[in-house]
Amino acid sequence: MGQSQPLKRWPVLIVEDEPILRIDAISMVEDAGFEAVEAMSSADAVTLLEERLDIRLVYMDLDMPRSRKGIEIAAAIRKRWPPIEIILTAAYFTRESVSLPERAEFYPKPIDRFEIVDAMRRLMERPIAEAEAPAT
Amino acid sequence: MTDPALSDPHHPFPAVGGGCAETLRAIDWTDHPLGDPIRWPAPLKTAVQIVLASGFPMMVHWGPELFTFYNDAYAPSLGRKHPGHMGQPARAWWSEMWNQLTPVFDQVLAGKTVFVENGRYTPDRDGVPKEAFFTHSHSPIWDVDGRVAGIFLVVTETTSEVVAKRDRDVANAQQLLLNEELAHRIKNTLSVVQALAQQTLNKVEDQEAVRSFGKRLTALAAAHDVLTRDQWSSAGLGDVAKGALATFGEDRFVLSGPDVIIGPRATLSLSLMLHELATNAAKYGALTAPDGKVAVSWTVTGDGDKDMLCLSWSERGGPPAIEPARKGFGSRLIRMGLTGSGGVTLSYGPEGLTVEATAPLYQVQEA
Repeated sequence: MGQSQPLKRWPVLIVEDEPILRIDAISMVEDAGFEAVEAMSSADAVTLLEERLDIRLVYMDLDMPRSRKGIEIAAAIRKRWPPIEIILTAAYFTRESVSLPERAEFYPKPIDRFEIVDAMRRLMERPIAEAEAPAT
Repeated sequence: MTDPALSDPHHPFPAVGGGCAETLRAIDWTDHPLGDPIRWPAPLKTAVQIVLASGFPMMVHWGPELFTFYNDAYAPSLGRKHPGHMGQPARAWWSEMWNQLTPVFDQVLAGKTVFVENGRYTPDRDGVPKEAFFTHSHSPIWDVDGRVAGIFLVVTETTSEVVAKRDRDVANAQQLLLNEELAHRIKNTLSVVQALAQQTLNKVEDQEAVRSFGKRLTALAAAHDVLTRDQWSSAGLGDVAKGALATFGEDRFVLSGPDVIIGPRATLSLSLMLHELATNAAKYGALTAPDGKVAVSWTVTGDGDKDMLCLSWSERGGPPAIEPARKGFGSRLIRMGLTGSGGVTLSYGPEGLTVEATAPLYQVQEA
């Protein structure tokens, strides 16, 4: 079914514990043309990824004091679900100060939403992710 | 023959020495290995007399047993050992830190002087060994035959200074951490402001303006980043320029100039100014052309008694620069200059825009 719908609204997982930033991230995902799935913590994120096998992109805030170190979760996601694309943001880190998982992209806060929307679209167009998407 | 010298009014020993001299006199030396003080070796008597008479904390250890004498200046920091330990062997004095002191005594008895600054010890002054710090010098005392027979100690307790410095270091480290935490919280708050603006204004027709706001906020955050590195006191001009221009593509800019430190206010105005210039260059100027470049250079020149900072922005390889008819907020941000009070000239030439911003260096550097 996916092949016949080029504009399929693939789900994007947003991991953000700050409510205002989460609302803004949802609108970014929708502007990019995808379906937003929300998680308020990294633990929720992992549970959601286990349930929703169609999630192809994770947008995650690394500054979540109540969660395990965000960068470790990002690395774990890359390891467990290699096809999933990852976009990270943070105020506590700079691009130089974090070692990113392979293929992950980083945008420091405050983010330029247009840059993120572009990145989401670009990453979702990657053919490898398309090929490895679960059949329905 | 029990106490002739002690009672001899012409040559009393010790001659002076306050409370500790009294303590020494009151001791019954009959069964003490050193015996009657009148028969002590002359170097011992001299050393003990020097110590007793001094106003600085001092101590003498003598003989193989290191029998120990001290003065009134030392007494207050000896705790319960004063006055009972007068004349006792060093081992009875310092059993709680004997392992630490033995190497010191051994070196001095071998003829060396040992000087220690702010050494950490655990003297037992009131029943419990407790951390304390001392600056001390242990040096040899020679007997008449030229052999080292004793140790002369001059000591000052530095516990309060060392502890105060340690507390200060901890407080500074905490302050550093707090500043960093605060800086990150400011950036997080800027993110929330960004999101609020975006969500509040998402029905506004002029989305270009909303985007401009977002980008200016990002430029402000980049300036914060540079300032956070040095506790909000100052920043390197090159770092500020790099931070402000990073999102426009590093290969489009050639930065050159000496290391110049600028203050937090200039850091904010310069960041916003460079951001506006780069935004304009990307819309109308050199950055619209694939090979267009911008040279950002700065110099400091002496002008009589005050140094002047001059920063120039010159766009090349793009279309001819044309003066805009309408001067908006962006244009005003540029004309703020290095200190927020002007000193900017713009030249719209056929080769591209050139901007010169000049300000007295001291103004750029003040907070």
